[in-house]
Formats: sequence, structure tokens, C-alpha cells
Amino acid sequence: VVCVRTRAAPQSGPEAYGARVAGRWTRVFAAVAAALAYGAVAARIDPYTSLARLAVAVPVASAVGVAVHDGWHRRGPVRARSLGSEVGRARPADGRAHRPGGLFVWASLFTGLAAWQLVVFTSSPREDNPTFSSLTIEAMAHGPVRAGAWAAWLVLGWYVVRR
Amino acid sequence: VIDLVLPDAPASRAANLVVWSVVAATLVGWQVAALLTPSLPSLADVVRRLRDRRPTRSALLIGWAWLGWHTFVQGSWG
Repeated sequence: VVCVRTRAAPQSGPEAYGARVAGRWTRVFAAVAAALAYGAVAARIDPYTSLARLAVAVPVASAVGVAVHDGWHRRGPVRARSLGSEVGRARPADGRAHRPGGLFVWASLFTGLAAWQLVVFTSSPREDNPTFSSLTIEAMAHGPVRAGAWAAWLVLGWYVVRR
Repeated sequence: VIDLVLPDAPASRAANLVVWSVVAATLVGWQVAALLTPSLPSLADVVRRLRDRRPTRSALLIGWAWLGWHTFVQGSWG
């Protein structure tokens, strides 16, 4: 009879912390690799086709499934999943501890972005007044850019539902 | 009836591209500043705050889905 002893994983302390951080980075790399692979395939699909709709619908349905599983439809904050504050720089546990003006600056920047988008959207001709969408579409004439855009969109969705 | 009058964008493509570059550089610059200064909220902190409330986290998810649909299904590149 061969008896194999395995050391039980520590539940707390520096070793457990290290294991959790390593696990998180493994998941991050796996998610990015999966997004790149999906993007490389999806970049070959033409827009306005059923296949394009399916290629977008599958990640969206998956994200909605994860969100519902995590209780996004319930009131209050969703349960914390990440070790974001542990693997990144030291941060206050919640945004309230940040300098109050910081969120205002972000709100102002996005308001400015939206306002500028509205101004160029209502101007013509489009050739001289490129919107965010038209600039994106011009860049996506190139396959590698398209693949990168797919991967970036997928990683963004993963970040939104899993962070 | 409110008649919203928007200013015209500059008449040249180059000038518009400069404005887009300034907008992008400002966003990236502020994010870098936030990453280097712990007391400033980064974009990740903004997302975290948005996820705290049901309406804003729903809007976040819908916005992401719309972005994918608009870009990859309705994009007319080529």
C-alpha cells in the first residue's frame, strides 16, 4: 500500500495570500488568452451577418449569466470576487476614501467626451467630422486591429462582471 | 419646446483629429495620474462605484453589450 501525504493548503497567513494572488493572476492570463483566441477567430466574421450577431450574443449572454449568478439583479453591492486591492497598489477599501474631487474629474472628462461626440455627430460631412465610431471603423479595416478590438471588448466585459 | 443649438465642429478633419487626440490624451493622462496617486480614484474605482448600485451596474452591462453590437455587428469596415 502506497500512502501519499499531501500538505493541506494554508487557509490564512502570507502563504495563503500568495496563493490567492497567484491564482488571480492565473485567471487574468487565462481570460486574456481566451479573449485573444476568440478575437482572432471573430475578426474574420463580416458585420451585418447572423454569424456576427451570434459572435456578439454569446459573450453577452455569458456575461448576463455570470451577473445574474452573482446577484446583480438584487439591491445593494454585489459580492466581492476579486483580490483587486491585494494585487494592485494599496488603495482605500472603497471609493469614498478617495479625494472627493477625483470622481468629479472623471465625470467631467466623460461629460466632455460625450459633448464632443455630440458636436461632431451633428456636423457634416462625416469625412471631415469623424465621430468615435467612424474613427473606430476606419481603424478596423485592418484585421489585426479588429482582432485586438474584439479581445479588448471581451476583456472589458470580463472585467465588468468579474472584477 | 427646447431648441438645442450645438456649436459646429471645426471645418477641417485635421483640427477634429487634434481635438480627439487631446480628449484621448487627457483621459489617459488622468488615469496614469490616478494610478500613481493612491488618493485619486482610477477608472477601476469608478467602475467599482458604478457596480455598487443596481441601476448603474445594469447600465454598465447594457453599455458594454451595446458597444459590442454597435462595433462588430453594425460596423461597416473594409
